[in-house]
Amino acid sequence: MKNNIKVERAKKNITQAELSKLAKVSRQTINAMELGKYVPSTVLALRLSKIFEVEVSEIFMLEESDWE
Amino acid sequence: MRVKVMPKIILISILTVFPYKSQSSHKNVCFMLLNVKHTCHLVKLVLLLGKLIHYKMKLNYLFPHKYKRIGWIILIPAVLLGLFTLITNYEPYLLEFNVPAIFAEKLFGENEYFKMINNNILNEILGVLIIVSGLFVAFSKEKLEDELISKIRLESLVWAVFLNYAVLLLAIIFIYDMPFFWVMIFNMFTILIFFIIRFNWQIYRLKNAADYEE
Repeated sequence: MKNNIKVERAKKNITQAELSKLAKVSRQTINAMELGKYVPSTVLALRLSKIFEVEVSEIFMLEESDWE
Repeated sequence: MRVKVMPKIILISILTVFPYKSQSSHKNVCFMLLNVKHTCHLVKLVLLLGKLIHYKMKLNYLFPHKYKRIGWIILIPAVLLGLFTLITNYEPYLLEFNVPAIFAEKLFGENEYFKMINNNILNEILGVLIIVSGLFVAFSKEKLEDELISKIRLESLVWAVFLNYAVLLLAIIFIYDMPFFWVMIFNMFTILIFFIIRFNWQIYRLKNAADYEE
């Protein structure tokens, strides 16, 4: 799964640390998500969409490999 | 919830604590059946207590974060002392006590049930300390126990169980007699130790990776 967290973060002009506080997770979790190493739960995805004020599908996108 | 469970718990704990006295303990079959019954009661009690705690505390089976430090403070000296007593066979005279035993068997001697026996309690104390403090270290919440940490916790637990039994399988196949007894002693604690090492290592790596970014 791909994600735009880094881009959305840049739009809002907030750091990983600030985003992690807003989403109530650790900075490591934000970092791991941005690197594509961790797929967040639905709850966290929805939190991020609230924080960035965009649809979930605009932050997270399926890839071909997600169908295998 | 509380109203329903409490009388059950009290009843079962009474059944568990007070063994039925009527049968003579020499009839082994009778005794073993009785033992099975007690064990069932005990398991039931533990399960009920678990349920109660679960409902009362919205439990995720983890201790608060501060227990981690307490755990480390007890675990490290206990492990060092434990290794020391194992290697040197150190048994201070001060700790010789008569203790109640449910089951005891002297080497080449008779089986003994529900009796007072003389025993050096140092290894018992150390075993309990290592296990309890090990559980504290292993299963205390991190400062921020979020979903990524939970995932790593689960993965590390599975990993530790696999590794532990891989080692045990090798030991069963290739190690015999007294050395196997030693393996069993270590095996009591290795699953916790493996978990603690793997989990903390993963967390450390995660933190490092995150610090490297930005």
